[in-house]
Amino acid sequence: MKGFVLGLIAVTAVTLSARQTFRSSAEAVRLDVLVTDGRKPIAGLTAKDFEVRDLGAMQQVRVEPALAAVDVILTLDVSDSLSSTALAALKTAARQVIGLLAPADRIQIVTFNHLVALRSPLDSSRAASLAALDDLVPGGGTALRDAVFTALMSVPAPAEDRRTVQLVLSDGDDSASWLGDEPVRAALRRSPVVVYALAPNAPMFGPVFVPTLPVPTPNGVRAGRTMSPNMEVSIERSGGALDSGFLRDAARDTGGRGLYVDKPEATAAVFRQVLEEFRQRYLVTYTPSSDAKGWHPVAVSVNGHRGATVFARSGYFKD
Amino acid sequence: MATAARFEADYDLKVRDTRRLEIAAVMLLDAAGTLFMSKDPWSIEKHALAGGIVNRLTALGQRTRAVRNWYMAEAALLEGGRDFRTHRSQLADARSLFPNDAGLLMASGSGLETEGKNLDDAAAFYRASLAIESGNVECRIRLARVLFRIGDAAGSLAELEQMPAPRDERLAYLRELFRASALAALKRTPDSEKQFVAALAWTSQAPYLGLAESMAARGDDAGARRVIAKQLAANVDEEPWAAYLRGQWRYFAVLLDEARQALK
Repeated sequence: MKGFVLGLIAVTAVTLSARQTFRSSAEAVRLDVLVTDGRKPIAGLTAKDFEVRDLGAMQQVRVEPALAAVDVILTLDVSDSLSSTALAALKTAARQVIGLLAPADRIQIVTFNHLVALRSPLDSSRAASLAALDDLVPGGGTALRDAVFTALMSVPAPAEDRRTVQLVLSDGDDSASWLGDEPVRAALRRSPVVVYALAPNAPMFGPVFVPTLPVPTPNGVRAGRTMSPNMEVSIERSGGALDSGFLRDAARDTGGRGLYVDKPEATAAVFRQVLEEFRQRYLVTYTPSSDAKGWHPVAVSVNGHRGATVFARSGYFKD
Repeated sequence: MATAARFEADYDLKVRDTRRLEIAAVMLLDAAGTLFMSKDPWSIEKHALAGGIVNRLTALGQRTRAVRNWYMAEAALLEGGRDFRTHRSQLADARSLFPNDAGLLMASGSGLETEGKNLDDAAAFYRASLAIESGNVECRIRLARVLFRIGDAAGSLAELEQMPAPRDERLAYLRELFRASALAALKRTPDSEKQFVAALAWTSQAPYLGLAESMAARGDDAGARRVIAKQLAANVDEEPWAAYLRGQWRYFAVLLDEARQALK
């Protein structure tokens, strides 16, 4: 089990929802937590099911279903490595996500190749968001880290009555970012946004040349090799979950999940799964027993549910 | 028998007209590049044929400008294709045929830099190239960037600050950008942020990102968000940094043209 964090929220006698009230002048930590049985979310958990350690110390927690309105940041790779089939599937999936939003939910669409573009801002109408998907054309390199950071910083800090999920679809092969892994991961760790990273398998993307032909040189003939304009598939595959790379780390840091999309046609189903899953998470809130500044590692576990897997942030910064 | 002779036999390549061979090699490399850009695997076949012809030319003792320029264009193509193993071996051959060639030395360093391995060797190639042709602005900028990546931010900054201002506006932009990152690595945050702002004169993406990341890292999330809002509103349509990461590939057409010119 891996623990993950959310951010610190300053609370001043604010009622977050009909069921959630914080003490006045307290600084509470709110964790956005998913618990699964390995396949699907486990519902009906209460505070007594959770064990939360902050800086190693057990915390008194309050738990409630995450019912707040959702802001979705769709962050879509439209680089040269995206095939036309994958692009069509991507548009279908994105349209489906828009259709699944509740009235109070909002969506922002960001696309990227080597440049990051805001296609429709968070407060757009559904019609504007749908229209933003019409003119997507694949091309260019892949600035994945730049895109994740830009998308993260392009929305306001989440209000206390909202939750934000950044849904990133990319092959994970970053060929053009200015920012490195660490600065972007640091920004994610400071943010309450949850990242779900979806990585299509290689066939969704452009052809990778098969190395078969000999390459002659003045010193003889050497084996041929792959020539691919943009991509080297860098993400390993294992049981549908990303097990390496920036996307995996970004999801892990924020308490989200990294998933593979086996084929273009499955994109819509995976998007739907993610959105439904995001609505079945828990908000675990506590006032930390230590007010030490700096990084607070947090470990979240669930008692009495054998095989339960917990997705939550790994810690938070206290300034 | 993996030898040049076998390749010649395979392709019935017994021609001794070196001019025709040079023309054929350049034409085939041109075709390989065009096919590569359209992701057509036949690019490999064309490249193989072109390489075989150059192989024949060098076996015949050809050390012409056309052959040298062919190697330069080929290196750009191989860098674009991220075929670094062939890039290294082909340029090793080219350097043995054309020793002390500043362009081939720089191309050798560029391949290593783009691959991200043996950066010390990349720096050595750049230094060797600059020792022959000190006025090569891109080579000096690349040397500075490699020094930064090695961890020598002070050395990187010194190279960038001592060099004359580049006339090429893209190189001028990269110089500003790299100065900013070197200053950031040296923990000179205010200077670094000023430098990122200076790099914004080009209106590209990386300086906004560098500035926003710096602000976020020091806790100014609101400031970072304002910078990103400006970035998204700027309608950036070019990022020289992304082209820089492709090494010499962006010069493939120019280098191929130089090979053609050498045939005239």
